[in-house]
Amino acid sequence: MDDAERAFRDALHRVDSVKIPVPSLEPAEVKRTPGLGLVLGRWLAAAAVVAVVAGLAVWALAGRGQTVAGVPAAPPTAATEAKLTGTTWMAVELYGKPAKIAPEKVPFIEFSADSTFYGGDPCNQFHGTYLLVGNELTFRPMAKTEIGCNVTQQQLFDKALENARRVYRDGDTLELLDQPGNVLARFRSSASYTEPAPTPSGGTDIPSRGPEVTPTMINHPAPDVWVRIRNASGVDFEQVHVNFYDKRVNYGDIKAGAESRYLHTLLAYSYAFVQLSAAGKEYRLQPVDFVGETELATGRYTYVLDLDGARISLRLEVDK
Amino acid sequence: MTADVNGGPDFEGFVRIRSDRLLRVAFLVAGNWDDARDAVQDALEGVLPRWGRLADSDKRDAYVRRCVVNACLATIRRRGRSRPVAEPQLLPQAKVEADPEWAIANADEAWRLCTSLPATQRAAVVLRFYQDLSFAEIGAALGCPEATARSHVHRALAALRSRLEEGQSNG
Repeated sequence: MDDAERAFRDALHRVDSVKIPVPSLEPAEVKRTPGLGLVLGRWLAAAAVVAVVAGLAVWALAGRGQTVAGVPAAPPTAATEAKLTGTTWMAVELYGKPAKIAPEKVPFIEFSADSTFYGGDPCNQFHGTYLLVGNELTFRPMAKTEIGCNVTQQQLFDKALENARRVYRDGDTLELLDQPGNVLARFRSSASYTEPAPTPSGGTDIPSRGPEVTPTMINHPAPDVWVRIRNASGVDFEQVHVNFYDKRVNYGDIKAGAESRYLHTLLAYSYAFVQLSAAGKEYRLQPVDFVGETELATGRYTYVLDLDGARISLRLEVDK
Repeated sequence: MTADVNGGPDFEGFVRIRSDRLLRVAFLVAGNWDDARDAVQDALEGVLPRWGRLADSDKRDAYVRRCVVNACLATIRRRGRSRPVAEPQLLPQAKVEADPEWAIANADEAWRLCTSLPATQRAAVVLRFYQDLSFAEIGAALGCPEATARSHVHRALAALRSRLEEGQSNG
Protein backbone atom coordinates (compact mmCIF):
# COMPACT_ATOMS: atom_id res chain seq x y z
CA MET A 1 0.00 0.00 0.00
CA ASP A 2 1.50 3.35 -0.98
CA ASP A 3 1.10 6.78 0.59
CA ALA A 4 -1.92 7.72 -1.52
CA GLU A 5 -3.82 4.54 -0.66
CA ARG A 6 -2.94 4.93 3.00
CA ALA A 7 -4.03 8.58 2.93
CA PHE A 8 -7.42 7.70 1.49
CA ARG A 9 -7.87 4.94 4.03
CA ASP A 10 -6.89 7.16 6.97
CA ALA A 11 -9.03 10.06 5.78
CA LEU A 12 -12.11 7.94 5.29
CA HIS A 13 -11.76 6.02 8.55
CA ARG A 14 -11.82 9.29 10.46
CA VAL A 15 -15.57 9.02 10.12
CA ASP A 16 -15.44 6.05 12.52
CA SER A 17 -14.55 8.38 15.36
CA VAL A 18 -17.38 10.81 14.63
CA LYS A 19 -20.54 10.37 16.61
CA ILE A 20 -23.34 10.11 14.09
CA PRO A 21 -25.28 13.35 14.46
CA VAL A 22 -28.60 12.06 13.15
CA PRO A 23 -31.10 9.88 14.96
CA SER A 24 -30.56 6.14 14.71
CA LEU A 25 -32.67 4.41 12.13
CA GLU A 26 -35.36 2.43 13.85
CA PRO A 27 -36.73 -0.64 12.08
CA ALA A 28 -40.26 0.62 12.64
CA GLU A 29 -39.36 3.85 10.91
CA VAL A 30 -38.10 2.00 7.87
CA LYS A 31 -41.21 -0.12 7.74
CA ARG A 32 -43.75 2.65 7.90
CA THR A 33 -44.90 4.61 4.89
CA PRO A 34 -42.41 7.37 4.18
CA GLY A 35 -43.56 10.94 4.00
CA LEU A 36 -44.21 12.96 7.10
CA GLY A 37 -41.82 10.90 9.14
CA LEU A 38 -39.02 11.50 6.69
CA VAL A 39 -39.59 15.22 6.93
CA LEU A 40 -39.71 14.97 10.71
CA GLY A 41 -36.55 12.92 10.61
CA ARG A 42 -34.85 15.70 8.70
CA TRP A 43 -35.85 18.24 11.32
CA LEU A 44 -34.60 16.00 14.08
CA ALA A 45 -31.43 15.44 12.15
CA ALA A 46 -30.93 19.15 11.70
CA ALA A 47 -31.39 19.68 15.41
CA ALA A 48 -28.92 16.94 16.16
CA VAL A 49 -26.38 18.43 13.79
CA VAL A 50 -26.62 21.76 15.58
CA ALA A 51 -26.19 19.99 18.90
CA VAL A 52 -22.99 18.23 17.96
CA VAL A 53 -21.40 20.74 15.65
CA ALA A 54 -19.58 22.47 18.47
CA GLY A 55 -17.92 19.24 19.48
CA LEU A 56 -16.99 18.45 15.91
CA ALA A 57 -15.51 21.89 15.44
CA VAL A 58 -13.28 21.33 18.44
CA TRP A 59 -12.29 17.97 17.01
CA ALA A 60 -11.53 19.53 13.64
CA LEU A 61 -9.56 22.41 15.07
CA ALA A 62 -7.55 20.05 17.21
CA GLY A 63 -6.59 18.15 14.08
CA ARG A 64 -5.78 21.19 11.97
CA GLY A 65 -2.14 21.49 11.14
CA GLN A 66 -1.40 17.88 11.95
CA THR A 67 -0.54 15.41 9.29
CA VAL A 68 -2.09 12.09 8.49
CA ALA A 69 0.55 9.49 7.76
CA GLY A 70 2.26 10.60 4.59
CA VAL A 71 -0.16 13.44 3.98
CA PRO A 72 0.90 17.05 4.38
CA ALA A 73 -1.44 19.29 6.31
CA ALA A 74 -3.83 21.29 4.16
CA PRO A 75 -2.12 24.45 3.00
CA PRO A 76 -3.43 27.65 4.57
CA THR A 77 -6.10 29.22 2.43
CA ALA A 78 -6.34 32.71 3.89
CA ALA A 79 -3.95 34.20 1.36
CA THR A 80 -5.74 32.79 -1.66
CA GLU A 81 -9.20 33.56 -0.33
CA ALA A 82 -8.38 37.25 -0.26
CA LYS A 83 -7.79 37.22 -4.00
CA LEU A 84 -11.44 36.82 -4.92
CA THR A 85 -12.70 39.27 -2.39
CA GLY A 86 -13.37 42.97 -2.46
CA THR A 87 -15.48 43.14 -5.59
CA THR A 88 -18.88 42.16 -6.87
CA TRP A 89 -18.69 39.86 -9.86
CA MET A 90 -21.44 40.37 -12.44
CA ALA A 91 -22.21 37.51 -14.84
CA VAL A 92 -21.75 38.31 -18.52
CA GLU A 93 -21.93 34.77 -19.89
CA LEU A 94 -23.49 31.55 -18.66
CA TYR A 95 -22.61 28.37 -20.52
CA GLY A 96 -21.41 30.39 -23.47
CA LYS A 97 -24.61 32.41 -23.75
CA PRO A 98 -24.77 36.12 -22.95
CA ALA A 99 -26.49 36.83 -19.67
CA LYS A 100 -29.12 39.03 -21.32
CA ILE A 101 -30.92 40.39 -18.36
CA ALA A 102 -31.90 43.84 -17.20
CA PRO A 103 -28.92 45.45 -15.45
CA GLU A 104 -30.53 45.38 -12.05
CA LYS A 105 -31.10 41.66 -12.38
CA VAL A 106 -27.70 40.47 -13.50
CA PRO A 107 -26.60 37.33 -11.67
CA PHE A 108 -23.77 38.26 -9.34
CA ILE A 109 -21.55 36.79 -6.70
CA GLU A 110 -19.40 38.20 -3.93
CA PHE A 111 -16.68 36.37 -2.03
CA SER A 112 -15.73 37.18 1.54
CA ALA A 113 -12.44 36.56 3.25
CA ASP A 114 -14.10 34.27 5.78
CA SER A 115 -14.78 31.67 3.04
CA THR A 116 -18.39 32.65 2.60
CA PHE A 117 -20.03 33.92 -0.55
CA TYR A 118 -23.21 35.77 -1.30
CA GLY A 119 -24.98 36.11 -4.60
CA GLY A 120 -28.17 36.43 -6.53
CA ASP A 121 -29.72 35.56 -9.84
CA PRO A 122 -32.72 37.19 -11.49
CA CYS A 123 -35.06 35.68 -8.90
CA ASN A 124 -33.22 34.39 -5.89
CA GLN A 125 -30.55 35.17 -3.37
CA PHE A 126 -28.17 32.67 -1.89
CA HIS A 127 -25.19 32.39 0.39
CA GLY A 128 -22.85 29.64 1.38
CA THR A 129 -19.26 28.70 1.95
CA TYR A 130 -16.52 27.96 -0.52
CA LEU A 131 -13.18 26.27 -0.51
CA LEU A 132 -10.38 27.75 -2.59
CA VAL A 133 -6.96 26.14 -2.86
CA GLY A 134 -4.81 27.72 -5.53
CA ASN A 135 -7.28 28.05 -8.35
CA GLU A 136 -9.32 25.00 -7.37
CA LEU A 137 -12.70 26.14 -6.18
CA THR A 138 -15.55 24.23 -4.62
CA PHE A 139 -18.81 25.77 -3.56
CA ARG A 140 -20.11 24.05 -0.48
CA PRO A 141 -23.79 23.52 0.37
CA MET A 142 -25.59 26.80 0.14
CA ALA A 143 -28.83 28.24 1.39
CA LYS A 144 -31.03 29.94 -1.15
CA THR A 145 -34.49 31.26 -1.68
CA GLU A 146 -36.60 29.35 -4.16
CA ILE A 147 -38.59 31.72 -6.30
CA GLY A 148 -39.14 30.71 -9.89
CA CYS A 149 -39.15 33.34 -12.65
CA ASN A 150 -36.44 33.48 -15.29
CA VAL A 151 -36.01 29.76 -15.16
CA THR A 152 -33.32 29.31 -17.77
CA GLN A 153 -30.93 31.95 -16.44
CA GLN A 154 -31.57 30.86 -12.89
CA GLN A 155 -30.87 27.23 -13.64
CA LEU A 156 -27.80 27.94 -15.71
CA PHE A 157 -26.36 30.02 -12.89
CA ASP A 158 -27.17 27.32 -10.33
CA LYS A 159 -25.61 24.69 -12.52
CA ALA A 160 -22.49 26.76 -13.08
CA LEU A 161 -21.95 27.14 -9.34
CA GLU A 162 -22.63 23.48 -8.77
CA ASN A 163 -20.22 22.25 -11.43
CA ALA A 164 -17.48 24.81 -10.84
CA ARG A 165 -14.16 23.26 -9.91
CA ARG A 166 -11.70 25.98 -10.86
CA VAL A 167 -11.59 29.73 -11.02
CA TYR A 168 -9.37 32.05 -13.02
CA ARG A 169 -9.10 35.77 -12.62
CA ASP A 170 -7.60 38.04 -15.21
CA GLY A 171 -7.91 41.53 -13.83
CA ASP A 172 -11.57 42.46 -14.00
CA THR A 173 -12.64 39.17 -15.53
CA LEU A 174 -13.42 36.05 -13.54
CA GLU A 175 -14.16 32.65 -15.03
CA LEU A 176 -15.62 29.56 -13.42
CA LEU A 177 -14.58 26.31 -15.08
CA ASP A 178 -15.60 22.71 -14.65
CA GLN A 179 -13.17 19.82 -14.15
CA PRO A 180 -12.33 19.36 -17.86
CA GLY A 181 -11.77 23.10 -18.28
CA ASN A 182 -14.98 24.24 -19.94
CA VAL A 183 -15.95 27.78 -19.08
CA LEU A 184 -19.25 27.65 -17.20
CA ALA A 185 -19.63 31.31 -16.34
CA ARG A 186 -17.75 34.48 -17.06
CA PHE A 187 -18.02 37.53 -14.80
CA ARG A 188 -16.82 41.10 -14.86
CA SER A 189 -16.18 43.18 -11.81
CA SER A 190 -18.96 45.59 -11.02
CA ALA A 191 -16.60 48.49 -11.65
CA SER A 192 -16.03 47.46 -15.24
CA TYR A 193 -19.46 46.02 -15.94
CA THR A 194 -21.36 49.18 -16.83
CA GLU A 195 -18.68 50.41 -19.20
CA PRO A 196 -17.13 47.53 -21.11
CA ALA A 197 -13.72 47.91 -19.76
CA PRO A 198 -10.34 47.84 -21.40
CA THR A 199 -8.47 44.71 -20.53
CA PRO A 200 -6.78 45.46 -17.28
CA SER A 201 -3.19 44.61 -16.80
CA GLY A 202 -1.40 43.08 -13.88
CA GLY A 203 -2.49 43.17 -10.29
CA THR A 204 -3.96 39.71 -10.20
CA ASP A 205 -3.25 37.13 -7.59
CA ILE A 206 -5.35 34.33 -9.01
CA PRO A 207 -3.25 32.16 -11.30
CA SER A 208 -3.80 33.20 -14.87
CA ARG A 209 -4.30 30.52 -17.45
CA GLY A 210 -1.43 32.09 -19.35
CA PRO A 211 -1.01 32.61 -23.05
CA GLU A 212 -0.49 28.96 -23.81
CA VAL A 213 -4.09 28.12 -22.97
CA THR A 214 -6.81 29.17 -25.36
CA PRO A 215 -9.94 30.36 -23.59
CA THR A 216 -12.45 27.56 -23.80
CA MET A 217 -16.00 28.32 -24.78
CA ILE A 218 -18.37 25.53 -24.08
CA ASN A 219 -19.81 24.26 -27.34
CA HIS A 220 -22.55 22.17 -25.85
CA PRO A 221 -24.89 24.36 -23.87
CA ALA A 222 -27.05 22.69 -21.29
CA PRO A 223 -29.96 20.79 -22.86
CA ASP A 224 -33.30 22.50 -23.03
CA VAL A 225 -35.69 19.88 -21.67
CA TRP A 226 -39.43 20.31 -21.19
CA VAL A 227 -41.39 17.66 -19.35
CA ARG A 228 -45.10 17.32 -18.75
CA ILE A 229 -47.08 14.73 -16.80
CA ARG A 230 -49.97 12.64 -18.09
CA ASN A 231 -52.24 10.99 -15.55
CA ALA A 232 -52.99 7.65 -17.18
CA SER A 233 -54.80 6.31 -14.14
CA GLY A 234 -58.50 6.39 -13.40
CA VAL A 235 -58.17 8.63 -10.33
CA ASP A 236 -57.30 12.28 -9.93
CA PHE A 237 -53.76 13.11 -8.84
CA GLU A 238 -53.11 15.85 -6.30
CA GLN A 239 -49.88 17.74 -5.77
CA VAL A 240 -47.69 15.88 -8.22
CA HIS A 241 -44.03 16.57 -7.41
CA VAL A 242 -41.14 15.46 -9.59
CA ASN A 243 -37.51 15.73 -8.53
CA PHE A 244 -35.27 16.48 -11.46
CA TYR A 245 -31.53 16.68 -11.15
CA ASP A 246 -31.47 20.31 -10.16
CA LYS A 247 -34.81 21.04 -8.60
CA ARG A 248 -38.12 19.76 -7.28
CA VAL A 249 -41.05 20.73 -9.48
CA ASN A 250 -44.68 20.89 -8.41
CA TYR A 251 -47.00 20.06 -11.28
CA GLY A 252 -50.03 20.63 -9.09
CA ASP A 253 -53.23 18.63 -9.45
CA ILE A 254 -53.80 16.54 -12.59
CA LYS A 255 -57.20 15.03 -13.27
CA ALA A 256 -57.57 11.41 -14.42
CA GLY A 257 -56.67 11.20 -18.09
CA ALA A 258 -55.41 14.81 -18.17
CA GLU A 259 -52.01 16.28 -18.85
CA SER A 260 -50.08 19.03 -17.13
CA ARG A 261 -48.36 21.84 -18.96
CA TYR A 262 -44.73 21.43 -19.95
CA LEU A 263 -42.24 22.66 -17.37
CA HIS A 264 -38.60 23.33 -18.02
CA THR A 265 -35.56 21.60 -16.56
CA LEU A 266 -31.91 21.38 -17.51
CA LEU A 267 -31.35 17.75 -16.76
CA ALA A 268 -33.77 14.86 -16.73
CA TYR A 269 -33.68 11.12 -17.17
CA SER A 270 -36.12 8.56 -18.50
CA TYR A 271 -37.46 8.25 -14.98
CA ALA A 272 -37.45 10.33 -11.82
CA PHE A 273 -38.48 10.55 -8.22
CA VAL A 274 -42.23 11.22 -8.14
CA GLN A 275 -44.50 11.98 -5.22
CA LEU A 276 -48.26 12.49 -5.39
CA SER A 277 -51.53 11.99 -3.58
CA ALA A 278 -54.53 10.14 -4.96
CA ALA A 279 -57.78 9.20 -3.26
CA GLY A 280 -56.37 10.30 0.08
CA LYS A 281 -53.25 8.17 -0.15
CA GLU A 282 -49.66 9.21 -0.57
CA TYR A 283 -47.64 7.54 -3.35
CA ARG A 284 -43.96 7.75 -4.05
CA LEU A 285 -41.81 6.44 -6.88
CA GLN A 286 -38.23 6.11 -5.69
CA PRO A 287 -35.71 5.25 -8.41
CA VAL A 288 -32.92 3.14 -6.99
CA ASP A 289 -30.36 3.29 -9.74
CA PHE A 290 -29.44 6.14 -12.07
CA VAL A 291 -26.01 4.70 -12.80
CA GLY A 292 -25.43 4.46 -16.54
CA GLU A 293 -28.53 6.45 -17.35
CA THR A 294 -28.33 8.84 -20.28
CA GLU A 295 -29.54 12.40 -19.84
CA LEU A 296 -32.51 13.37 -21.98
CA ALA A 297 -31.52 15.50 -24.96
CA THR A 298 -33.11 18.85 -25.77
CA GLY A 299 -36.78 18.33 -26.51
CA ARG A 300 -40.25 17.79 -25.11
CA TYR A 301 -41.19 14.70 -23.14
CA THR A 302 -44.14 13.26 -21.28
CA TYR A 303 -43.89 11.22 -18.09
CA VAL A 304 -46.91 8.94 -18.26
CA LEU A 305 -47.88 8.08 -14.69
CA ASP A 306 -50.19 5.27 -13.73
CA LEU A 307 -51.09 3.54 -10.51
CA ASP A 308 -50.47 -0.16 -10.27
CA GLY A 309 -51.94 -1.17 -6.94
CA ALA A 310 -49.89 0.66 -4.34
CA ARG A 311 -47.17 1.66 -6.78
CA ILE A 312 -46.64 4.41 -9.31
CA SER A 313 -45.40 3.41 -12.74
CA LEU A 314 -43.66 5.85 -15.03
CA ARG A 315 -43.27 5.53 -18.79
CA LEU A 316 -41.41 8.07 -20.91
CA GLU A 317 -42.85 9.37 -24.16
CA VAL A 318 -40.82 11.51 -26.52
CA ASP A 319 -43.00 14.29 -27.90
CA LYS A 320 -42.57 16.17 -31.11
CA MET B 1 -32.44 -10.47 18.27
CA THR B 2 -34.70 -12.82 16.40
CA ALA B 3 -33.80 -14.94 13.41
CA ASP B 4 -35.63 -15.42 10.16
CA VAL B 5 -36.43 -18.77 8.63
CA ASN B 6 -33.01 -18.85 6.99
CA GLY B 7 -31.17 -18.52 10.29
CA GLY B 8 -29.90 -15.00 9.61
CA PRO B 9 -30.96 -11.91 11.45
CA ASP B 10 -34.46 -10.77 10.68
CA PHE B 11 -34.94 -7.39 9.09
CA GLU B 12 -35.27 -5.55 12.38
CA GLY B 13 -32.10 -7.13 13.71
CA PHE B 14 -30.28 -6.31 10.52
CA VAL B 15 -31.30 -2.65 10.75
CA ARG B 16 -30.19 -2.43 14.38
CA ILE B 17 -26.83 -4.07 13.72
CA ARG B 18 -25.93 -2.54 10.41
CA SER B 19 -27.56 0.86 10.19
CA ASP B 20 -24.69 2.73 11.87
CA ARG B 21 -22.15 1.28 9.48
CA LEU B 22 -24.41 1.90 6.49
CA LEU B 23 -24.91 5.48 7.64
CA ARG B 24 -21.17 6.08 7.75
CA VAL B 25 -20.71 4.66 4.27
CA ALA B 26 -23.60 6.78 3.01
CA PHE B 27 -22.14 9.88 4.66
CA LEU B 28 -18.82 9.34 2.92
CA VAL B 29 -20.55 9.00 -0.45
CA ALA B 30 -23.36 11.54 -0.07
CA GLY B 31 -21.30 14.11 1.80
CA ASN B 32 -23.64 14.99 4.64
CA TRP B 33 -25.53 13.18 7.37
CA ASP B 34 -29.03 14.26 6.35
CA ASP B 35 -28.70 12.87 2.87
CA ALA B 36 -26.94 9.82 4.27
CA ARG B 37 -29.84 9.07 6.55
CA ASP B 38 -32.41 9.56 3.81
CA ALA B 39 -30.39 7.36 1.46
CA VAL B 40 -30.11 4.51 3.97
CA GLN B 41 -33.78 4.78 4.83
CA ASP B 42 -34.78 4.79 1.16
CA ALA B 43 -32.52 1.84 0.47
CA LEU B 44 -33.83 -0.20 3.37
CA GLU B 45 -37.41 0.56 2.39
CA GLY B 46 -36.58 -0.83 -1.01
CA VAL B 47 -34.94 -3.91 0.47
CA LEU B 48 -37.72 -4.76 2.90
CA PRO B 49 -40.19 -6.28 0.39
CA ARG B 50 -37.42 -8.54 -0.94
CA TRP B 51 -35.98 -9.49 2.44
CA GLY B 52 -37.43 -12.97 2.49
CA ARG B 53 -35.75 -13.81 -0.79
CA LEU B 54 -32.31 -12.62 0.36
CA ALA B 55 -31.26 -15.83 2.07
CA ASP B 56 -27.51 -15.75 1.42
CA SER B 57 -26.00 -13.28 3.90
CA ASP B 58 -23.12 -12.31 1.57
CA LYS B 59 -25.50 -11.60 -1.27
CA ARG B 60 -27.81 -9.79 1.08
CA ASP B 61 -25.02 -7.49 2.29
CA ALA B 62 -23.91 -6.82 -1.27
CA TYR B 63 -27.46 -6.08 -2.33
CA VAL B 64 -28.09 -3.68 0.55
CA ARG B 65 -24.75 -1.99 -0.09
CA ARG B 66 -25.64 -1.50 -3.73
CA CYS B 67 -29.01 -0.04 -2.81
CA VAL B 68 -27.42 2.37 -0.33
CA VAL B 69 -24.78 3.56 -2.79
CA ASN B 70 -27.33 4.01 -5.54
CA ALA B 71 -29.65 5.89 -3.21
CA CYS B 72 -26.73 8.19 -2.32
CA LEU B 73 -25.90 8.82 -5.98
CA ALA B 74 -29.56 9.48 -6.74
CA THR B 75 -29.71 11.90 -3.82
CA ILE B 76 -26.64 13.76 -5.04
CA ARG B 77 -28.11 14.13 -8.51
CA ARG B 78 -31.53 15.03 -7.23
CA ARG B 79 -30.71 17.62 -4.65
CA GLY B 80 -27.71 19.47 -5.99
CA ARG B 81 -25.99 21.56 -3.38
CA SER B 82 -28.53 24.10 -2.32
CA ARG B 83 -30.69 24.05 0.76
CA PRO B 84 -33.97 25.87 0.28
CA VAL B 85 -34.91 28.82 2.45
CA ALA B 86 -38.60 29.56 2.61
CA GLU B 87 -38.46 33.33 3.03
CA PRO B 88 -35.86 35.70 1.57
CA GLN B 89 -35.52 37.55 4.85
CA LEU B 90 -34.43 34.30 6.53
CA LEU B 91 -31.54 33.82 4.14
CA PRO B 92 -28.84 35.64 6.14
CA GLN B 93 -29.58 33.47 9.16
CA ALA B 94 -29.62 30.19 7.26
CA LYS B 95 -26.91 27.86 8.41
CA VAL B 96 -24.62 26.71 5.65
CA GLU B 97 -21.49 25.71 7.49
CA ALA B 98 -22.88 23.51 10.24
CA ASP B 99 -22.01 20.38 8.39
CA PRO B 100 -19.61 17.86 9.85
CA GLU B 101 -18.24 17.35 6.37
CA TRP B 102 -16.97 20.87 6.47
CA ALA B 103 -15.30 20.25 9.80
CA ILE B 104 -13.51 17.26 8.43
CA ALA B 105 -12.68 18.99 5.16
CA ASN B 106 -9.69 20.83 6.48
CA ALA B 107 -8.19 17.74 7.98
CA ASP B 108 -6.15 16.52 5.09
CA GLU B 109 -5.59 16.53 1.40
CA ALA B 110 -7.05 13.07 0.84
CA TRP B 111 -10.39 14.04 2.31
CA ARG B 112 -10.33 17.32 0.44
CA LEU B 113 -9.79 15.45 -2.81
CA CYS B 114 -12.42 12.90 -1.91
CA THR B 115 -15.09 15.54 -1.52
CA SER B 116 -14.29 17.01 -4.92
CA LEU B 117 -14.39 13.73 -6.83
CA PRO B 118 -17.29 12.98 -9.17
CA ALA B 119 -19.97 11.09 -7.27
CA THR B 120 -19.38 7.67 -8.79
CA GLN B 121 -15.61 7.91 -8.43
CA ARG B 122 -16.03 8.96 -4.83
CA ALA B 123 -18.32 6.03 -4.17
CA ALA B 124 -15.71 3.70 -5.64
CA VAL B 125 -13.03 5.17 -3.37
CA VAL B 126 -15.25 4.78 -0.31
CA LEU B 127 -16.03 1.18 -1.14
CA ARG B 128 -12.37 0.41 -1.78
CA PHE B 129 -10.68 2.17 1.12
CA TYR B 130 -13.41 2.31 3.74
CA GLN B 131 -15.26 -0.91 3.03
CA ASP B 132 -12.15 -2.77 1.77
CA LEU B 133 -14.05 -4.29 -1.12
CA SER B 134 -12.49 -5.97 -4.12
CA PHE B 135 -12.84 -4.33 -7.50
CA ALA B 136 -15.35 -7.00 -8.48
CA GLU B 137 -17.46 -6.17 -5.42
CA ILE B 138 -17.19 -2.45 -6.15
CA GLY B 139 -18.31 -3.10 -9.73
CA ALA B 140 -21.29 -5.04 -8.41
CA ALA B 141 -22.20 -2.23 -6.00
CA LEU B 142 -21.95 0.45 -8.68
CA GLY B 143 -23.51 -1.62 -11.42
CA CYS B 144 -20.46 -1.34 -13.66
CA PRO B 145 -17.79 -3.72 -14.94
CA GLU B 146 -14.88 -4.56 -12.66
CA ALA B 147 -12.51 -2.75 -15.03
CA THR B 148 -14.54 0.45 -14.71
CA ALA B 149 -14.47 0.19 -10.92
CA ARG B 150 -10.71 -0.28 -11.08
CA SER B 151 -10.43 2.74 -13.35
CA HIS B 152 -12.47 4.95 -10.97
CA VAL B 153 -10.16 4.09 -8.06
CA HIS B 154 -6.96 4.42 -10.06
CA ARG B 155 -7.94 7.85 -11.36
CA ALA B 156 -8.63 9.06 -7.85
CA LEU B 157 -5.31 7.63 -6.63
CA ALA B 158 -3.46 9.29 -9.51
CA ALA B 159 -5.03 12.63 -8.63
CA LEU B 160 -4.08 12.26 -4.99
CA ARG B 161 -0.50 11.20 -5.80
CA SER B 162 -0.16 14.25 -8.00
CA ARG B 163 -1.41 16.50 -5.19
CA LEU B 164 0.89 14.90 -2.65
CA GLU B 165 3.88 15.32 -4.95
CA GLU B 166 2.86 18.93 -5.54
CA GLY B 167 2.68 19.48 -1.80
CA GLN B 168 6.11 17.94 -1.26
CA SER B 169 7.72 19.99 -4.01
CA ASN B 170 6.13 23.18 -2.63
CA GLY B 171 6.97 22.46 0.91
